[in-house]
Amino acid sequence: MRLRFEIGILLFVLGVGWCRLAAQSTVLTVVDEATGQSLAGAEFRWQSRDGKAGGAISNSMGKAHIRIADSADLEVRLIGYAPLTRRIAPGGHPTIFLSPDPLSLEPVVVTAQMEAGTISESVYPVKVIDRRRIEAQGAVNLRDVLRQELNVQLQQDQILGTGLSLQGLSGQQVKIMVDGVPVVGRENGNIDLSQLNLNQVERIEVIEGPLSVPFGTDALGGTINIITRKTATDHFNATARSYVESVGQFNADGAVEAAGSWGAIALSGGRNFFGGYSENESGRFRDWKPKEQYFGGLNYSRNLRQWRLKVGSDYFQELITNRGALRAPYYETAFDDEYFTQRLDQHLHLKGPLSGRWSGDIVAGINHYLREKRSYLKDLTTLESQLLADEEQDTSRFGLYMSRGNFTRTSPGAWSLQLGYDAQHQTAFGSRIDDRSQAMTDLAAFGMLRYQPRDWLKLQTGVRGSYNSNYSAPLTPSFNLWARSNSNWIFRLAYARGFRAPTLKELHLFFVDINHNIQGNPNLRAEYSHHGSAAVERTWVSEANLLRVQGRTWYNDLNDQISLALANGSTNLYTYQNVLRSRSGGTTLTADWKREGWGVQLGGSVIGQSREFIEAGDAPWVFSGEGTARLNYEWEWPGIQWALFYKYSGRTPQVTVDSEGNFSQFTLGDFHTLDLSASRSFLKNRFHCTLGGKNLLNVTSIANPGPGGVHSGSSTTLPMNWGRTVFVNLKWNLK
Amino acid sequence: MIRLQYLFMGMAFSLTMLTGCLPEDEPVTPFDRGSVELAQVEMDPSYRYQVFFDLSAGSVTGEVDKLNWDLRVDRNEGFPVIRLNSSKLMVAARTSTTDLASLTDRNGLSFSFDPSTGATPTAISGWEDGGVSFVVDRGFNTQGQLLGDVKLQLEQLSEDRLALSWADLSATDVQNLVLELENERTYYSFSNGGQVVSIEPDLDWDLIFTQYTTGLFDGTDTIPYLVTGVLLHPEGISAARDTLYDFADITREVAETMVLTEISDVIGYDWKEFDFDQGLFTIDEGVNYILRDAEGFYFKLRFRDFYNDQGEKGAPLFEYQLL
Repeated sequence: MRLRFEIGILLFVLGVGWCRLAAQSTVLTVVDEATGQSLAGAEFRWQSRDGKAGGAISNSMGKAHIRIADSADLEVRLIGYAPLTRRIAPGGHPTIFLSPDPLSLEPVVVTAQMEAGTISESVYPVKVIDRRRIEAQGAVNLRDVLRQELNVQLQQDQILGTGLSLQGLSGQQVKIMVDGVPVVGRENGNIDLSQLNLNQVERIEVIEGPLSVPFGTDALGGTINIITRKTATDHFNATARSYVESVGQFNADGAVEAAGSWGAIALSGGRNFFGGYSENESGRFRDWKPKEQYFGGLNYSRNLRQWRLKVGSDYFQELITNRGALRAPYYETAFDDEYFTQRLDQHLHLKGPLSGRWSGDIVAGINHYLREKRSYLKDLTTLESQLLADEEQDTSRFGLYMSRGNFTRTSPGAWSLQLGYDAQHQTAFGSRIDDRSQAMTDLAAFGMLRYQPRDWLKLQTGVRGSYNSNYSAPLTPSFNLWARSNSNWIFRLAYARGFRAPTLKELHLFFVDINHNIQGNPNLRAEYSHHGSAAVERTWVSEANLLRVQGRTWYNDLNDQISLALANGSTNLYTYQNVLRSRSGGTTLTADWKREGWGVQLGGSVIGQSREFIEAGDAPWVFSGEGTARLNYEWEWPGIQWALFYKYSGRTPQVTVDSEGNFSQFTLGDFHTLDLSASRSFLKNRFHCTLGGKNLLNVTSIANPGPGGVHSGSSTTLPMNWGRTVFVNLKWNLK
Repeated sequence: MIRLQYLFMGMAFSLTMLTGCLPEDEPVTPFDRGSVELAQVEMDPSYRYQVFFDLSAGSVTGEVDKLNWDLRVDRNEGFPVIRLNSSKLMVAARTSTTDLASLTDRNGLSFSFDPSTGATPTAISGWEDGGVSFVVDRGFNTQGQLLGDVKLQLEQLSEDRLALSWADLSATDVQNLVLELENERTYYSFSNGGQVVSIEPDLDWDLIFTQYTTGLFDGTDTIPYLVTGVLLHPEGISAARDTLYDFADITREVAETMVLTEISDVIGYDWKEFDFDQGLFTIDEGVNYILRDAEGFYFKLRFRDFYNDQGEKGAPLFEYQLL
């Protein structure tokens, strides 16, 4: 029934989008002024004299189709080229020449912005990880790319996957979205970053600090928005990619795109395989579990008059195979587990101008997440597997039905206003959920007001109020200041509150058996945080050099943090309670130097953390440090792009609080990560090859004198990586 | 050129798609379980010896004269546990005095014996507060002669250390004893002025064939009674008694469905009966035992005889097989 309903929505949207438009088709071609080479990925934004506006992206042939009925002002942006504005007439085939400008490194960001703009113009500190870097790193999934990122610490659980901490706050306080649609399916509070494949990703926008006004729950430590590739607007395009890594990763994916006056459609799919890894690979047990992923997507987009419509559906499945060691003393049988994950995400995006100076941006999504644990006893003498008792199996399902809309009024004057709504309905089903099924509805309205009396000053404030069917939702404000001095200093100040809603699991868990008595707590309050930050940025530009230095310091005070705690000693009942307070603060300094053919980025940060039981108080602060270095060099003669990524993760003191309020402190060891790659394009950019080495310093684990992960036990080491590897990434672009 | 690209792409794709598969498990050779083994242990017709048997090794790994020791001190989390040598029908009584020298007779004392299940509390227990005195009846020798009484007082204890003073019951010259509990079990004898003795074999063992004290309800009270049978190793081994299956039909699958227990006397003594008509011990043929040793190996076991080839009792003959 639900599936039919969703298909109905998609068909409705597709049907609406079929109507013909009256404007004339204009074909834009963008080329490099110096080489005459066509340029892919250039972003066009146009506004015609009749008040209509729109946008497009150039395809791999440097072409983009737009439909305008009147002459229009066209703005063209592409990283590495100077922005250009010119007027075009309807029905023509203009060629636009962009001047190479290696110092122009101002990617456009969209996450939480009133309107798309450059990083330096954003009131938020935004980091953009673009496609070029993703490919240079040989990154397959979000885990791969974030492992080299400053202020991001990854935690590896061999069953639950890779979680993260951002700015010293754990992964459950970080919102992860794909094109603005939240990713569902948190295990132990974390989204498994290795389930978020990057094959169809254009860039990743990371905003540190709360964005709870526009995005609601979870967005208090930071927000990671994965922006997928825009569909090409030429008639046919196909890409295929093949990735092999010496540890035993074999990935292949491809995409086919077609476009016409009827819109553009893209079909993509692929398979990732990882054969597992252990330092000692004798036997069938692997520390890093073998993993097989299949994924696919079908997306359709078109212009509806001045509106841009995109609908799509993405499917993902993963099978983790945990083969147990042969059981002593016979060495004939083994306990095996399979962890099957399935994601089905459907989304709709609608963006365009409304009447007057208002524009709208609506996102809707229906996401399903399924996780099954299947446990077997395998007889290795006969190779027969026997499913274990029901108590050893587990299935959980989560669903998210959401829609968020932003309606923005921008004007040449000083005031801009954005009003929005955010509606979510979440469902949870599982044998460990009270009554096996629970649901939660959250309805929110938010508004942001920006005052920009001068070009150099922006003041922005926002507030979000919401109703939640299961808990009392907090009122969430934010204040931001952005200022630019005559000498090109940029200052940012921010204060914001963030919150994390109690999850359905925390509210309604029912896990009672002979070994456990853990129950949810329907009386939980939302976690809330205060965040303050100050940032300064300066860019020096000379004829051939660009140097940008950024400094930022921040403070988070997270209260009412939810944790498992002993509720009844006589029954050994544990429940989730609002008992913790976490504070984190830190300072980050980065320097980015570029000149023709070269790029160097250095960064360092110090992060302090404190965690305490609210009633106990007075927890100690512990500090850790990080450093990153990136080097890009474009060797012009053979056309090889070299990239080097280095990160030092310092010794990390950890403070844990057990359910009885006892603190323990231990320190995780430090480690270094070093990757190197070389890329080259052939056959007029139709074939692209990247060769590289990952984890060249061969760090596999770090010292861990504290408690292990959920599935790690109390190990003295913590797994970090699967050793030194080499990889090759081949990409074809067929037209 | 385009065809070449397609060819190259197809080859690389095929390579990555086909190479990336989780290899199937290779079958392993089943563990060699051997056949049904027959073993016999000799306890002596007087049941004088305690015989240690290791199922995995399939052999006797030690033998000790049961008169060689009096107390066994088990290292334990918290406080050590003191056990009596129940093969001599030893019993002990707690007294109300803290003056050991003044304690010279057993009048008015109530004696108890250690549970044959291996459970706690034992007869010498409740002394954690220190200063408590006990009178220990050392039981009988194989001729049924009393071995005498001693008195003892616990003075200091920790997880791996025990200090006490003791003397013969009638004596006033108390001697001090400090036991450093270096092994899991430490044995002590009051004979010859007192000494730590080596009892358990160095090798592993699963079963001990011995006399031991158990409770027998005489219609009014539960009285200590000496029986001859088999006790489990105190750590790691578990067993179950079965009367449903034929011995030949017991497989490991069957064994894995059984509820095994670490109760020390789960095998016990009642696999045999005394036939008063014939004046002989006879074996209960319908009783099987399933055992799981500390390593995890399953065994089935049944008794076949209680006499050796010379017709002497105290020589259990049993069949067992690794499952």
